[in-house]
This record gives sequence, C-alpha cells and structure tokens, in this order.
Amino acid sequence: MTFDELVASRRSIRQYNSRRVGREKIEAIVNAAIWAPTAGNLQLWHFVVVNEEKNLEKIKLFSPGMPKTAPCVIAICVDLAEAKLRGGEFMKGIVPMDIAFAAQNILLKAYQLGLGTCVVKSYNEKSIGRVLKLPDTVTALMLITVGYYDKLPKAPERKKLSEIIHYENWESEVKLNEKG
Amino acid sequence: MKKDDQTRMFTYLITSARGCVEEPPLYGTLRLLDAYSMLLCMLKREKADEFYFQLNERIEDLKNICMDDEKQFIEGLDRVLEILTDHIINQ
Repeated sequence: MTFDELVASRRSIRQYNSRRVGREKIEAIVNAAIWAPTAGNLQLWHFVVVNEEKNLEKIKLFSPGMPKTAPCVIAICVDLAEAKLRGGEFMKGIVPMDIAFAAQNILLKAYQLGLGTCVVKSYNEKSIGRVLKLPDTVTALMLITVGYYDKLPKAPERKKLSEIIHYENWESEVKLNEKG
Repeated sequence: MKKDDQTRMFTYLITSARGCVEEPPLYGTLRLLDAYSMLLCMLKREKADEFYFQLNERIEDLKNICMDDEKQFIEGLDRVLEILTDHIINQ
C-alpha cells in the first residue's frame, strides 16, 4: 500500500473481532508514535496499553464513546505538571498537539499492520486515571482502541480542496489542479 | 437485572450524563441509543418483546453512520420512531 492509499483508506473502526493483538505489534505501533514531532523534543507522552479483559471492562465502564468490542486500548498520557515545569504555560496548548501527532502515527502504523483503531475522547478523565492508576499529575489525554476487524467502513465524504485551501490569504480565489 | 449489568448500565448513564455537558449534542443522542441497546441486551434473558430486538437492528446500523452522515442518521432515527409509533398504535 502506498502512503497515499494508507492515508486515504484508513477508517475509524468501531466493530472488532475477537482476535487478540500481539505485544510485538503493539510495540511497533508505539514505536511509530514516538517518532512524531514533539515541541522542544520534550517527549512528554506515556502510553498505557490495556488488553486484559478485567481492565478493559473497567475502562469501558467510564468511556461511553468506546467501541464495546475493542480488545486493546492505548491510553496516551502526559504528566501535566512536568509539562508546565519544562515548558511553562505555553505547553498547555502544545501538549494536545504533540498527543495528536503521536496518535496519527499510531492510527497509520496500526492500519499498515492490518489493525483497526478508533480515537476515543468521550470518557471521564478522572475515573480513567484511577482505573489506570495514574499519578495525580498524569492525565490520559486520549484513548485509542486497537484490534482486528472484519469490515472496513465506507469512506465518509471529504470536502473538496477548493473549499478549504487558501493561497496567500483567506480571500484568495482558488484555482486548483483538482480531480473530480 | 444482574449485578454486572447494573454496574454497566448505571456507570454508563452517569458517565454519559457528565460527558454530555461538554460533548457535541449528537453524542447525547448516540448515548441514548446505546443505552437502549444495552438495556435490551440485558432484558434478552428475561424474554422481552421481539419487536424491540428487530428495532435494535436498525438502531445498530444507525449508530454506525452517526459520525459519517448526520443527515442520513437523523432520517433513520425518524424512521425508527415511525416504526415504533406504528407498533404502539397497533398494539
């Protein structure tokens, strides 16, 4: 699969089959995540991988937006006190970006390995923090479900480039070499 | 209702209630549909009306398109309500 195909055909997977995800693949995925851009090379992220049934069940209890059949969850966590200490107030806005960059690498690497993923933000941070036994200053800023799937959902529509690209300034008229 | 089911249902409802304060409005709709499916799944063991299981199949399909096609999702939800209304009226 080419890079363009990988990017365009990846979908959020909300229905997984029962096949377990091996540790080797998880580590390959997290290894892709740590090569994401990170402000000041601070690398504030930690990845808590959960795949034991008992723990998954607890996470799902406090994550209404999580696919029920997910066999594995990666929680991307950050020590916000450390972020402030090392990067000041500025980091408040930067940390979510770093996390998002890492997450995108996770989604793409997993897909390349034949796995489906879904980003989940609908969960209670405090409850999840307690389930994951996170220190008080550490927060799970994003959960990503990972697992094998039987069916890839069809692609939702995307806006045309001409609707969202602006050259030089917002008011520019766009003439693109756009197909279709 | 079994103890495990109680935990699942009540935690889901309260966590959702808190989440809905900040989440997009459509998420609230989705949570209610999810709660329907969860309750039905729990009732299954107690032999609920077969009609509601059939309705759930439509609801499951709808949940899959909720984030991709809002218009189709809402139309589908209208249809589900029509079917439910027919069922209640003809009972």
